[in-house]
Amino acid sequence: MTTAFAIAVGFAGLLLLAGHILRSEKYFKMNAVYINHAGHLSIYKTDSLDNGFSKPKSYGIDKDDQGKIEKLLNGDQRIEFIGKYLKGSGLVSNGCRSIPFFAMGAEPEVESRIRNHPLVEKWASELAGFIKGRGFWTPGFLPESIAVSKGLSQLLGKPLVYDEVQTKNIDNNGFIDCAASGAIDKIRSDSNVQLATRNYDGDFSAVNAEIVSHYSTGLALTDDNAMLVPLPLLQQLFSTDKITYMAAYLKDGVNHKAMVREIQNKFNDLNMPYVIYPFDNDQISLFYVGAMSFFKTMAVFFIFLVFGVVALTIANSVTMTIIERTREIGTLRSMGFLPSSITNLFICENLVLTSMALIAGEFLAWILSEAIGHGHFTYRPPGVAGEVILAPLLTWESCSIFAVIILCIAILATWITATGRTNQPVVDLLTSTSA
Amino acid sequence: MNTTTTSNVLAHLRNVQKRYKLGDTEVHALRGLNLDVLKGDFTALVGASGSGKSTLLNIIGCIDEPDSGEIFFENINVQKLSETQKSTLRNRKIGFIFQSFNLVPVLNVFENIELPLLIQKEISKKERDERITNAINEVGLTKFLHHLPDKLSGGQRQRVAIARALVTQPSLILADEPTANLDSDTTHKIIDLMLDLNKKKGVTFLFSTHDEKLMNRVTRTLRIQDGIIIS
Repeated sequence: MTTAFAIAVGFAGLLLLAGHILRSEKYFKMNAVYINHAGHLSIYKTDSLDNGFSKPKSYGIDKDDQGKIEKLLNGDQRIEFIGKYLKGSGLVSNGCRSIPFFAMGAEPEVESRIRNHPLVEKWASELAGFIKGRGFWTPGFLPESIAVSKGLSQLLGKPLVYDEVQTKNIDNNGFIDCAASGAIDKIRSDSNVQLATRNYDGDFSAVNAEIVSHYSTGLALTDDNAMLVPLPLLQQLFSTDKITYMAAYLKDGVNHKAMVREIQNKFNDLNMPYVIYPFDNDQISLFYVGAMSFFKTMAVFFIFLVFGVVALTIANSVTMTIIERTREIGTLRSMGFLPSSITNLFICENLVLTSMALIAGEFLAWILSEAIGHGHFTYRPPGVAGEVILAPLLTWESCSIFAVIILCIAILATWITATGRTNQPVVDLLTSTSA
Repeated sequence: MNTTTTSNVLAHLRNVQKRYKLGDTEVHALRGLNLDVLKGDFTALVGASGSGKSTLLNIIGCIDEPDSGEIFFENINVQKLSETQKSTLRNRKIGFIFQSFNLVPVLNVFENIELPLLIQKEISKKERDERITNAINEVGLTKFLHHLPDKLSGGQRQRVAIARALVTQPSLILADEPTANLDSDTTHKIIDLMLDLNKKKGVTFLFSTHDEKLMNRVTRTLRIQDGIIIS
């Protein structure tokens, strides 16, 4: 009974641990692929990741190539949609203070699709919506509407978004006397900012922008300098029609790694100087790769620990059982049972016991998982901005894999322990004083 | 020893020696023992504790091995058999009855008796059931078919053990002090049962005992002392 209980608890623990890691992986993947726009596959000009930041004009994708890439990808039924992205940095000003920003220029309709994607809502609902305001794709919004990260809005002293300013009917006639005593209040009272940078031609460039929403990037590292800008506005700021990269968002369940090779070969065949990166490449999603490595290392450690405890528990239980039943083994041997038959008998008994314990363990894991899910517990993984919902994800795959491993451990532990005893001379078994 | 024909000899032992270690002491259990067990015999092996009774039974039953000497069972040289062949021999030819019954506590009477037949794959389920029913009837435990051993008296448990030894229709049943844990009345009932099976079914019995009162009930008595048969 104690053995069965230990196996059940160990199995439930493994399932919950695996469930937590699986759930976290889904969150991190949604964050990397959709919220941070890596797509399942991203297409960069060769060496763009190394040199694109310093030489954006040379490593940007021009209109012509954008069309060729779209044509190449559009026929693939595995691709759900494609996004074009321009990345750039500069200074954002509230009229009195300038702060560095890193902007992601995205097509409004694609960004809208991402924010309302069923997978994002399912696995990263914390990130799907905006902290306040509405998306810049909302009909009626100005072309210069932008979303800024929560931290950046605080640094800019811009707590209000466009909708709030409109509701309050605040007169924001533009000019701010930064030295005046009411300057901070005036900055706080409107939602417009100015973006300035050095454009692709090396000239100074600036545009006005209206903050229509605050959002979270999901990453602590970027949550106080990120900005989401409509692609045309950012292209206007950088005086270019180029983009930095294109992202392909695949349908659920498609093997993205196989597609990388396949699409890369197509580009190579066309002599197009482009490289396809999967979202789980550390140059594309460093945080995803780092976080998952951490989780996997932790999982391997704990899984070995639990498996070790289960194996020792079973071995200990079998040893005790066999010692108690030594005379019974001797009796069976005297009747003509072979040592291997008796060992198999013990293996069968332990398989039944272990199977029952696994069923109980799965039931326990399911109850705990439901309880945790309904408890709306949250946690903050390292490097993540904000809280992540704690809801272990139980899957039949993890249940099956762990169950098979535990059953194998049970068979092995029983076989090792039982074989030694059943092969002893019959007379020693019958006269054993330990039974 | 008795003058016998080879065909009448079930077990044949010549100059059998057995030593074993008991702590730091070496015990010389059998010292060149000679014995022929005849078919149909009902033999009691009598001797003091440590005289070698159990060792002799174990060696005849192929559950222990002598250090030297010859052992033939139904003209088969037992020492040349592999462990698997010895297991088969035990299952087909030899039944064991133990002093403390050695029933499997989680199995009922029927299942305990069924155990040795489970190895004999050539026996159908129907034949197995028939054999078990007959064995149970012969030991008078028909009403206790589905009882667990702990619900039975000592005498009843030993009857189950006898039925289990009998069910494979062995040539020889070896019993190591089968009545030592029983009261006088039950002892006589068990001996009556064994005698009855010996007479009616011709089953050969060789059993060890301390009880001198049983001597006048057996067809043959062997006295063993310091590892040799003295009479």
